Amino acid sequence: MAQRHNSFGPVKGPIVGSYLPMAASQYFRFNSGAFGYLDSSGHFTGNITATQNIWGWALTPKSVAASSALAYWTSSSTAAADELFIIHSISTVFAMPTLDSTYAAARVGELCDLIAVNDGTGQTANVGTNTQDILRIVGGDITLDIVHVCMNDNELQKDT
Amino acid sequence: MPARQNTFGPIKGPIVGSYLPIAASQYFAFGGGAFGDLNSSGHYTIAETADTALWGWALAPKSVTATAGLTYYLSSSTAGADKLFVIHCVETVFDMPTSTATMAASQVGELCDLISTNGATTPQYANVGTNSTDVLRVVGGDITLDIAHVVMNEATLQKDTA
Repeated sequence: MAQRHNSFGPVKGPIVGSYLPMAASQYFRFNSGAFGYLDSSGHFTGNITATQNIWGWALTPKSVAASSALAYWTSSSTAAADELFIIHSISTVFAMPTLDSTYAAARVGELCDLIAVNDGTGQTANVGTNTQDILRIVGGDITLDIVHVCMNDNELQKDT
Repeated sequence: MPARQNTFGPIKGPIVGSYLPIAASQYFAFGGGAFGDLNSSGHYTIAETADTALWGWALAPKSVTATAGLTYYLSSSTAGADKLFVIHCVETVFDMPTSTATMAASQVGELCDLISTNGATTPQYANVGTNSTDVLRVVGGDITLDIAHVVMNEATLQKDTA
């Protein structure tokens, strides 16, 4: 996975979005997903496991340097101090990691959840689980345990 | 200008791009453009005034606070250590500030240059009315705010970094 950690993100389809302010202290791991929602102030916040809504995907800076051992980008501890470009189009296909050995060709066409904690450990597609169903699986790579997903339009955040 | 500093960037058209490594110590001013080219190592470098080819526009983080006095995103001092998503499609329309040159309706349809120096104090401007490098096509703009809407001139796209 590590050698592919900068390939996660939009891989196909249109990219439509805007610069949006970030909530305080949001962790976006490089080899991870970057889905999130807007809080009541309109600040982009990384989705965690039980988040029911989804707004889009943040195009965060990434790093290939191991010298600092930094594995994630963190927003400012002041809410709205940073802005990132957020993709909100539902037909954009994003590549992101799955848990080991969970992706299979039969998963294509299914909905699934996310696993995430806002602590730098990253955001993973939880294929095979259907509690929040915020993602649609449209493809993937069985060998590398990478899944290609779109946001489920039924769970798009419509009103903050 | 400051009130609009976070609106500069892609405003219309398709966005196609990739994450690319960034050259060492590149300044991306919040209140400026983010056009650049690739150096011989394939690292994205902010376009400067005399550059005759463009690769794309980097979607660098921005900030709305002045608490740190920071007005730019600065890449690592280690070449290739950071990556940003870089738009490389020629149909994307970007809005960016013009410099002392005044945006006028008659500029639409013209080619123009950039004014840019990689540093902490100089944002990247569209230099409407000048035609030395002609790396941009002016497709619209705002006369009151002196903002230009530009696309990359496909004739001066960077085609080979070798």
